[in-house]
Amino acid sequence: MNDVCSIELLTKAVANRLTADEETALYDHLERCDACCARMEQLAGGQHWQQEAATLLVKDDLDAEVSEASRWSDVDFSVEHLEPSDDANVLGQLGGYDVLAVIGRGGMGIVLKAFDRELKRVVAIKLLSPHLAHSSMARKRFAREAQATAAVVNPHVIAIHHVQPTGRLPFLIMPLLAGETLAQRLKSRAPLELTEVLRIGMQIASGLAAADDQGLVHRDVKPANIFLEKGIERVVITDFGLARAADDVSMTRMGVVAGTPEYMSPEQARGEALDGRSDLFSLGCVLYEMATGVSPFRSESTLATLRRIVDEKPAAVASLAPELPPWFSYIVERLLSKAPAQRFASARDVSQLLEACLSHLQQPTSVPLPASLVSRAAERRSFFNSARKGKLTMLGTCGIVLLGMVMWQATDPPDISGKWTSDEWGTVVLNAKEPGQYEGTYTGAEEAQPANDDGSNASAIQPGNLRLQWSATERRFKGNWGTGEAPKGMISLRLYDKEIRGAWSTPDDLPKDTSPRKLMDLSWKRSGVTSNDLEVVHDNEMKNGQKSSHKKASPETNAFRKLFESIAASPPNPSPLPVKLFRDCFPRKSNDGTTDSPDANASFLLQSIEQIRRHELPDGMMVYELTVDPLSFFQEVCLLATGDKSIAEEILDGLLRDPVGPRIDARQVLRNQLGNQVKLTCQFHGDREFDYMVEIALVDEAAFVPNFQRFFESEEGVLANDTKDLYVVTPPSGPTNQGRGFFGATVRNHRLYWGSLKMVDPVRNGRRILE
Amino acid sequence: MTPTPTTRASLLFRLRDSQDHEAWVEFVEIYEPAIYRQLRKCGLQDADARELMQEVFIAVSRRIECWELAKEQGSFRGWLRRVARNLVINWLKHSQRRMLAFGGQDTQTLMAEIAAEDCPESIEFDKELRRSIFQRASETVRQEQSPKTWQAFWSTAIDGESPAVVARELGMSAGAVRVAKCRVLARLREVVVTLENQS
Repeated sequence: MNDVCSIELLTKAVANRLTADEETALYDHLERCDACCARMEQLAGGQHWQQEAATLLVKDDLDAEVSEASRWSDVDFSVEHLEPSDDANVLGQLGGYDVLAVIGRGGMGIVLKAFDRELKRVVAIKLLSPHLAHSSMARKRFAREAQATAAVVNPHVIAIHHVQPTGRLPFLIMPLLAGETLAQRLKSRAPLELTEVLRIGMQIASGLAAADDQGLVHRDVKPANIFLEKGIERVVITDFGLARAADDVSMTRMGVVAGTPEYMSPEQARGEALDGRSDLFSLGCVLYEMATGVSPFRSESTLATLRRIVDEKPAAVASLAPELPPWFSYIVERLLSKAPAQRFASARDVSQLLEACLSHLQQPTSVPLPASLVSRAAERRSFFNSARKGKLTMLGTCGIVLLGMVMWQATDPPDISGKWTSDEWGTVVLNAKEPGQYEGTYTGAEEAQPANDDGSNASAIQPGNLRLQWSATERRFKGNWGTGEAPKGMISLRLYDKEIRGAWSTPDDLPKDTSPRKLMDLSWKRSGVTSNDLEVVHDNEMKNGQKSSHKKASPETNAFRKLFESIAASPPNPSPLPVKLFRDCFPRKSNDGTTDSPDANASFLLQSIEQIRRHELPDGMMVYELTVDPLSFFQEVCLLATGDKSIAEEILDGLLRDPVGPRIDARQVLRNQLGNQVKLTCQFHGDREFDYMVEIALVDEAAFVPNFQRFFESEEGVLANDTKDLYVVTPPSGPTNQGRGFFGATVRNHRLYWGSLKMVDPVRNGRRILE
Repeated sequence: MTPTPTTRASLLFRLRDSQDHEAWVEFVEIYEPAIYRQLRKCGLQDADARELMQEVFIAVSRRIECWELAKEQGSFRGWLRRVARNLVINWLKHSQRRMLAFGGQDTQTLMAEIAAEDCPESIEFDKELRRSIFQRASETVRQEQSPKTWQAFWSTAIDGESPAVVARELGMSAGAVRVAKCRVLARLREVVVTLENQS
């Protein structure tokens, strides 16, 4: 090792750039070379610098006070602020209370667990932090908060037993709650069940409503301040430590973020004046987190969180938890509106709304979803955005039972532009204006067609125009027909290969004598194509469902259609079963005023059936196979059953949306809507798109079970093996539906069987008849 | 002080520039203890000093819009410090009659006054500021160094013990102690100069 004095080496040493060897050598050298020691000190700033550093870095008493809060310990606290106690098990005494433990410490105060000797109960004491206790301002604020909180009497707001604003350390006495905070619960198991989310949310809102009555804004609603009491599961809002009268904005503490940023409202983040609606935003954040497991605005830094709160829309609830009903997303998103005016008006409104939703979830048969949410839920449907392909086929055994086989087929808006002809409408010309939107004209009947038995021709169609709009939800075109700028007649139609079928109604405002028929079917053929061109398919063999995808109308289709039509056209004659069944099952419900007759219902339902084929079973039983557009068919069924389009859509939505887990909500909604008149249930097994069970009708046949079993057994053994659930459900008995039963069966491989029966002896609910 | 100096949310939010945001955090870290200490030295109680300190920061934060409008005047850091310094010094000058009636209106007026000239108050406060900068710089440097290096520095440079004694206590050579001391002092100077130049 050399022993040379080197300025360069010393410079490198000070800058910490020596190699390990150089370092060791230098240590050695410095032991012997005072000159180098002095040079190195000079390089490090010199004597003057060292002196200044020594002076300024030494801590003094004030520094100790500055960091007092962080050095504070339970022991220090007990020694300094508590009276000694004769009981060895307690930390000390405070104002007649035995302090048992220090529970927590916040920005303003300390929370102690204590025993009230007089009332023999354990309480929580919240006291002003000692370092704030000699500020009159802090004392005033503490007392004001305590008194404001004490004025709120509500089971969901922490009670204040006693306030002691004077004395060395002001404190207040609260009940000591057993349980956990919502933050703790979310940490251990998030997300929570929807019922639990609603139950907790409703109680928070109720507590906030009570605080609101006192002009109190909590300002810090967050999971850590929501206490869930053990056993009775009561929710209590705690820590109004930041709460203060809404008009008192001046005392916001500097150096402390007033409110937890993650749950802050935009107006709070901007430092603007607040009212109770600020807490509603925070409540929205809490609901969001409970339901999805993540808080909506969480970011890596406080600043980023604040920016997100003010500028960004959080990820949609449905994107994180698609199983949640749309109405829930609506509630949360409305609470999270950036503008307070767009949120709900008050915490009380929210509490009532959540309560109604909760009762609905718990007792769907007797409590409807709040009306304000039903339409909202429908607006938010997302199902039809997803592109699904499939086909639905149904089987029916006429006279005994209807069986359906399901496959799946989705349809894009079809092209119906061009020329069409029909006896009643003459030549119809349709022009596409935009995708799915058509305008057209028709020439009307060339010669009057006798429409009724009396030979009147009052309903002969006069020339006019048409406007049609593709309805994605109903999978058909809907619109108006008539003369003038605003045609009033309603029309609804669907394309079937070379034919358009549908129904139309005469406007209500036409004189009675000119419109004896309210609703009629229509059938337009491609111009130049007649019904003779349609391929006729007749299948005597029952094959797998996959094979039954013929597009052309078979003789059975026409026969079945005629059956339906004949009944639709003559209401007083309900004898043929299939239509009677639809008519009996779906009560008249006035919705838009035009399609509310049973005949209209049957007629519209018919439209969703694309094809009907007949099969003969070995024992001579007839099975009809119906090929239907699944969406429109279910839509019709749901619509007929509920009489409310938005509810029907919600049912469909719930049934058909992305299949992640079982969706029982749709069924609950349906049950709820129909109440004691349950005529239809939809069950979703969550496997893939099509394990549904739909029971829609009743048929008059007591001996259906053996036949049904035979039918399954006859199916080359395949169907019977596939059957995984078959059961009989009886609706509640009453004068009109006594003895009626429904059956349904679900089968794997995305196929569906459904049917119904009328039993001589009612079958008990849920009894299995086939494994 | 608060363990991690955080700032009022509304203020943070107004500082859209992340560099400005850092500048603010640094500003608070340096000015908070300086103001607090200065106020305590003027005879204020702990809680009152804290309240007043908050008021100063609120007053400064209210002026941030002015900064946004006059950015050409220099760095945000420099602006912040000028405003705060003027505010505190002017307050100290008038403290006799304002003591605890320190309201928002007054604050605005005070801040609008001409920059504080060299006066006993400004000299006192500048000392506190420099001390605060040293404290903050030492915290930075301490975290960079090994505990042993830091201890060697502290014992020799601050507590004034001889390298030989410290070397024995820490189980290192006297040369290593000397190097450690100089290394920390040099680094400390770098950090202090950086912090000062930014003001």
